[in-house]
Amino acid sequence: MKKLMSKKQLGALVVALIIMAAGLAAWVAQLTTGLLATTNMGNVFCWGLLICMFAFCVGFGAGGQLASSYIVLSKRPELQRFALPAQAVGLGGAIGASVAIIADLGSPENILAMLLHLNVVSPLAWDMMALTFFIVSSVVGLVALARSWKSARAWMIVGAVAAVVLQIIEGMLFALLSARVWWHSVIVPVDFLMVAIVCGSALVLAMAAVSGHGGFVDAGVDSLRAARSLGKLLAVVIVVHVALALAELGMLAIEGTAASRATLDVIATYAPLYAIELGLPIVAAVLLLTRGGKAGAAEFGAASALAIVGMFAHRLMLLYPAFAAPTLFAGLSNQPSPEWAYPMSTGQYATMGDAFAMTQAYLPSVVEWASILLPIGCAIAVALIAIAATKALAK
Amino acid sequence: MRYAMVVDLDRCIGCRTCAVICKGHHAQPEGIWWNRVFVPGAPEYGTSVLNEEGQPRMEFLPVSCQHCDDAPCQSVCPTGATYTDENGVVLVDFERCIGCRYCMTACPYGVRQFNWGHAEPLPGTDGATYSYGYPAEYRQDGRLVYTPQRPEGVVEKCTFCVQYTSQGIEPACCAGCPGNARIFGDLDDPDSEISHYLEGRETFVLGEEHGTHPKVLYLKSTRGIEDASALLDAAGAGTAMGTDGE
Repeated sequence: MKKLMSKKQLGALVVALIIMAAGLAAWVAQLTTGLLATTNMGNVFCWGLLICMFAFCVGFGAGGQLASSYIVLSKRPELQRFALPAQAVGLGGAIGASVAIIADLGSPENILAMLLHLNVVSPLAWDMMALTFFIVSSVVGLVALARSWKSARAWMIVGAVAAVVLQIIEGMLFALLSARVWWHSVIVPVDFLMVAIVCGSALVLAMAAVSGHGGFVDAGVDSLRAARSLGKLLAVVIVVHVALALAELGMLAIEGTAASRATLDVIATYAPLYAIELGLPIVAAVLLLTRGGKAGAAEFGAASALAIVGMFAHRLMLLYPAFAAPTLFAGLSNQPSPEWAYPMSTGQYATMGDAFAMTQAYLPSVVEWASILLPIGCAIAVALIAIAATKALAK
Repeated sequence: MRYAMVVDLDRCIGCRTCAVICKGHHAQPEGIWWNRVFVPGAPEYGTSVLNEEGQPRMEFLPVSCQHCDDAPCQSVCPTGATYTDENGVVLVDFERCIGCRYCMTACPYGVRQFNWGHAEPLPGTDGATYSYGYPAEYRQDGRLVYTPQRPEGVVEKCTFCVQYTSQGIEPACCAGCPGNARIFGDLDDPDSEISHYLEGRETFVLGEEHGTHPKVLYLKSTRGIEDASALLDAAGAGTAMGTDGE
């Protein structure tokens, strides 16, 4: 291992394993004590931080692969040394996403039913198949790059296709549900793809910015040149993502139904989070477009960080307007009236708590924050081990 | 066989007996309600709302699983835990449910309930454990669709009282409703009570825009309409409603 990893990489791996262990402990607490005792979810807000982390990780997975494929297929010399690390992070992201979705299950002991009784019309089944295909193609692509296979470019095409399919299906998992107006839009799958490209570009930009400082990527004199060429791409994709997000918001405003109005109210409530989702990436894009030619490593690093934090906020905002807004509306049956939101059971066992509610203010619990350390640690560990493995595989 | 339920809004008095009897008969843990009744738009239970002309109106609307013909909860379930039986009833197999809660996000009616934790037994008046609900588990073709000992981490909802209807007994909410506002039966049988009740009457469904085709059908209330008696006469329900001078 010593030969395959630098001391800093080994240290990072140990930290990742410690993070994983902490996350595992939180997950075991959820399993043994129950989701009610350890999370702040309920029947109204039934998906929480682990689903957010699942979507975030899967974006990084696809983004890493797309970045790697772009680097290899474009043959840009200043970017070539980032292909393998990007591929490794892509694999780590996909594994992290898989861990997050399994950790979120209420009855993981029944998971075998996913194989024995798979419902092939379920978008979640498509997602499982797409994720599996992606992981396999990602591993093969990693080996192909490490061993410099002649077919490496072909495998990068396969990987890119797998990443696009994964993100489109991921988006459809949400977009096909008419019950949630915030998701029920053709824009969502396209935007999922854009978010993945933002994540992948920001990731490689960050690598270029810090290369030579952590021993994760071989240092080179072309680091800033690489950052500049990727910076432009990142800025453009951020602009597309923001345009799609605003188009979605506009469509919601035009819809004019009781459900869309209720969703807009929730978005107004969570305006600061929405501002972070859109504002930070916009700042990054402006920075890259205005200072791109003269920017140094610190500015590129800052732009990457802003974009990535914005994408995490995007994943959180995937949930809030969807779950904090009611889904059932009813008016008077026999005469014209407004459509009013209809309460639902909260699922809370609290003696003095609300049995029914229209909405639920969700703030993840400490255990939920701790539980996302499991997929995060897992993703980092897999990426580091994959990078080390490529060194062992290299001819 | 196509089981369905009619909810006659003229007959619903908002007593919530349906919600309570349902909870009792199905050993629903604390915090779980398969049935719920509210006045849409009312800030407090049992208060009126204003119609578009500013006149006060009050209408109770019972809501439970709509047993949709095109159930989104069923199509999204990755393991087939949610399925429609041969009678058109949408059920959940507790032993196949992985607790992903995707069905809860897909259901526009908010009727699916998750067992978020381990339900503690209720203390009885004598200090012993209070036991309630249909006492035995019920399996349909080997699939566990009801058990009084609810597994943690699975989704549940109204079953149209499958453990009773399989024995020819009507659902608990229908049996317990003091206004006979709920009528259950086989829509495919022209001689069933529900088919007779629906003759000549116009029904509506909740969330029609979702295209789910529910099998819980609602009859509009005639209260607060000037020509209510004419509507009742046209529907032939004058006697049933006690509006014939009794």
